[in-house]
Amino acid sequence: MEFTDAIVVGSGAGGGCCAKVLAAAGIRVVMFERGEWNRTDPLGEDDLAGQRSPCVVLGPGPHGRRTRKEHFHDNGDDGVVRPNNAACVGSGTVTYGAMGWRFLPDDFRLKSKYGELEGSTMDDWPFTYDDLEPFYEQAEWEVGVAGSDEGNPFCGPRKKNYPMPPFPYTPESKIMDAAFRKQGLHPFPTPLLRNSIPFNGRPACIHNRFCVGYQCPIDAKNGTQNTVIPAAIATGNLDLRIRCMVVEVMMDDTGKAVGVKYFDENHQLRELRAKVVVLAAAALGTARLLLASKSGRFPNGIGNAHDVVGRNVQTHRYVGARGFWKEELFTEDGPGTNVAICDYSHDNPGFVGGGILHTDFQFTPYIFAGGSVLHGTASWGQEHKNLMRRFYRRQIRIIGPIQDMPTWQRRVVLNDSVRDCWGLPFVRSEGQGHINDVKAGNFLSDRAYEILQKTGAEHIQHQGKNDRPPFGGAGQHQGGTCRMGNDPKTSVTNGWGKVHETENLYLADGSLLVSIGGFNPALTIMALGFRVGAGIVRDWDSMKG
Amino acid sequence: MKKNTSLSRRAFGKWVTVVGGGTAAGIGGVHLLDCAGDAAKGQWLALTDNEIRILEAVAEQIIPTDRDPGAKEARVVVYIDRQLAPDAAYAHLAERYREWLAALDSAAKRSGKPFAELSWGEQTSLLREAESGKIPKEVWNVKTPQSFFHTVVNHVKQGFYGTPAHGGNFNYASYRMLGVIVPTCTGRNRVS
Ligand SMILES: Cc1cc2nc3c(=O)[nH]c(=O)nc-3n(C[C@H](O)[C@H](O)[C@H](O)COP(=O)(O)OP(=O)(O)OC[C@H]3O[C@@H](n4cnc5c(N)ncnc54)[C@H](O)[C@@H]3O)c2cc1C
Ligand code: SF4
Repeated sequence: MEFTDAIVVGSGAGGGCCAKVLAAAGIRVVMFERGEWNRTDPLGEDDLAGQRSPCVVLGPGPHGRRTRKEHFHDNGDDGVVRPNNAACVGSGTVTYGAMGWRFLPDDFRLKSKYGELEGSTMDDWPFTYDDLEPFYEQAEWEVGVAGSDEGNPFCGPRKKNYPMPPFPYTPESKIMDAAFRKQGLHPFPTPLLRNSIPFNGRPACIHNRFCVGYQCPIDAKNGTQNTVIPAAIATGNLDLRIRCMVVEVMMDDTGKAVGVKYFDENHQLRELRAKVVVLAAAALGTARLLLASKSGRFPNGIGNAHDVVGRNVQTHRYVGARGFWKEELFTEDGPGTNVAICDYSHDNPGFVGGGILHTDFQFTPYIFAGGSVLHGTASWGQEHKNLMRRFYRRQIRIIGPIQDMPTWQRRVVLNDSVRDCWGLPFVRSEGQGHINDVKAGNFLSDRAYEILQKTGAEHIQHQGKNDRPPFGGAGQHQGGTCRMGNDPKTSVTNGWGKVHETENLYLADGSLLVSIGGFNPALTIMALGFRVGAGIVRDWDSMKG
Repeated sequence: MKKNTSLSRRAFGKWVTVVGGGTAAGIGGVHLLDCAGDAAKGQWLALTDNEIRILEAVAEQIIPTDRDPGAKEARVVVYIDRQLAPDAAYAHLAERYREWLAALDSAAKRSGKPFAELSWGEQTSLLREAESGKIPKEVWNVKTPQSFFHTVVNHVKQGFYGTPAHGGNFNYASYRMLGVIVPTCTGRNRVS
């Protein structure tokens, strides 16, 4: 029987940061990752292989029968499966758009701020923005964010500045910056997990046009795979085992996790025992492991005595507007997203929360060609080609993710009829999102539309407006399946990520999010990873036995 | 080409080194390897010559030739055929492609001619009918729905607007049309 101090399952945003804290504190960690190190190769320039357009190749791994992508059903059907987030060392942090947002203080206290929201399980976090602030700082400095809060009156207080200055604006962002100001709004540079200057031993960004969805060819984009994970390995305490799929958490009768079962890279089923187990397999992956780990004491899966695991799943609907500028705006200068506003993140009329608006990443020709260029025009034929030529280089667009309101019905469950090659059931998502999403989305899209109108842009169109709440879901931004809380009846872990009914089983990924914010969630997940790690280190003396 | 001509020249040189034995053709005097030549050699990986003929006519309808190359010149069918080959990205759709193309051809033959030989306007109308599922059921008697056209449209756009590395966008037809320089990671050219 093999032993170690701590096991971390998953090497993405949360897992990478958590493992680093443990390893640095002298705890011996084995980290399992089902994917492998992603290599930068020519496909990085392939606009049919990015994660925004996964036509020919599906982003970074895992590939093939053994390591096929995590699948989930997003429409209640059994037949339809579609791939999820990345799966490699660093996971989505290798290929993400790398917007590095802190949530706003109000995002941690939605219920206190707005009261009950009927039909939603929306709640306060078990701690405040101030409690997480030091870990945001740690994420910004150890992973690396370029930004500046100076024009943003809405952001929470920070003790330390960003480690790098913000990125310069593209022509599109300059227009939007001026338009926002003219309308009394408060634009500021989008914080980016990218090097605006050489940082951490790696070079400054060279502004590729197409960056989101790809690994950076010069390693100027900061994820866990090129920051905290190498740092953890350098301590000598991290044993990273790639191509290893964890299929079960082993529990004893007292509520103690004793280790995990996993398939190694040779497809051998093995066991590893440890004093503490941390799951960071992303919101869907972690829920899947908890639900699939059934034992005498946990007949419905670990931490699931009150049927909470998998519920409250959240994701992001993207809304905004796009128009076309009088002249060409397109430059070869990526990555594109530069300027943002938080003016509509909270305190809007008639609904809870809201979201940011920001200029978007550059569009590849193929992505731009999808559907019709203008509303009501042909999506193929001569007209479509004419409009491609006329408008590709003139797009101006602001969009943002809407704060998703969790519901009890909307959840992921194990789907016993669809299993991967290890025999582990996939998850299926079911249940409807909240109508608040529709109100918030339409409100924000209308604001984006008006703002664009005043710039003088032409042919403005709403984007993402919808009259129905989202069904099921959880894709690249997935969260909330095992939310934190003080009440074991409505939450899966406590405020330090420890699963309620257990002594030493922790979660450290997007599954913990009580609310997913009106922001891309990676920096918050990293901060949570650091915080969960800090809690384990603090309590280590009592756990090491 | 609108902009950055000199830059893109330099870029093309690098594209070759990056993609290795990847793709196609000579550009602005720089001569590159020709590997997208499946079409030229008439060796299709998934479809028959006849299916290719129909598909090419459909693709040309979706992205017609005008002052810039259309789907045909950009070798969109090479892209699609490659992706339909066994083990390729769309292998699971090969059967549906065959059915759909055959059904379209029989729908065309109501007027006595195969799809590829219909007039331009006749082809357009027939595709519009397929797009909205209006071809009569007796004529369209296969499992693959008429609306599979939307998938074909999507794949034609991939073959035309996507990277040449996968067999389409021959001679960087769409990148030239839109004034996009290659390789895609322009920043890389800038530092070198
Ligand atoms: C194209 C793209 C763009 C994005 N852009 C942004 C952005 O701009 N800003 C932002 O904040 N976020 C962005 N995201 C989202 C961000 O990447 C995710 O929110 C974040 O990575 C989630 O962190 P996590 O720790 O919860 O899970 P992940 O980072 O997904 O990590 C989970 C890891 O666990 C592994 N794993 C799962 N199950 C098992 C198992 N059973 N055994 C072993 N290993 C397992 C997976 O392979 C994966 O590596 C983007 C994502 C994508 C794909
Ligand atoms: S835009 Fe910058 S960070 Fe993105 S891939 Fe290019 S160099 Fe890397």
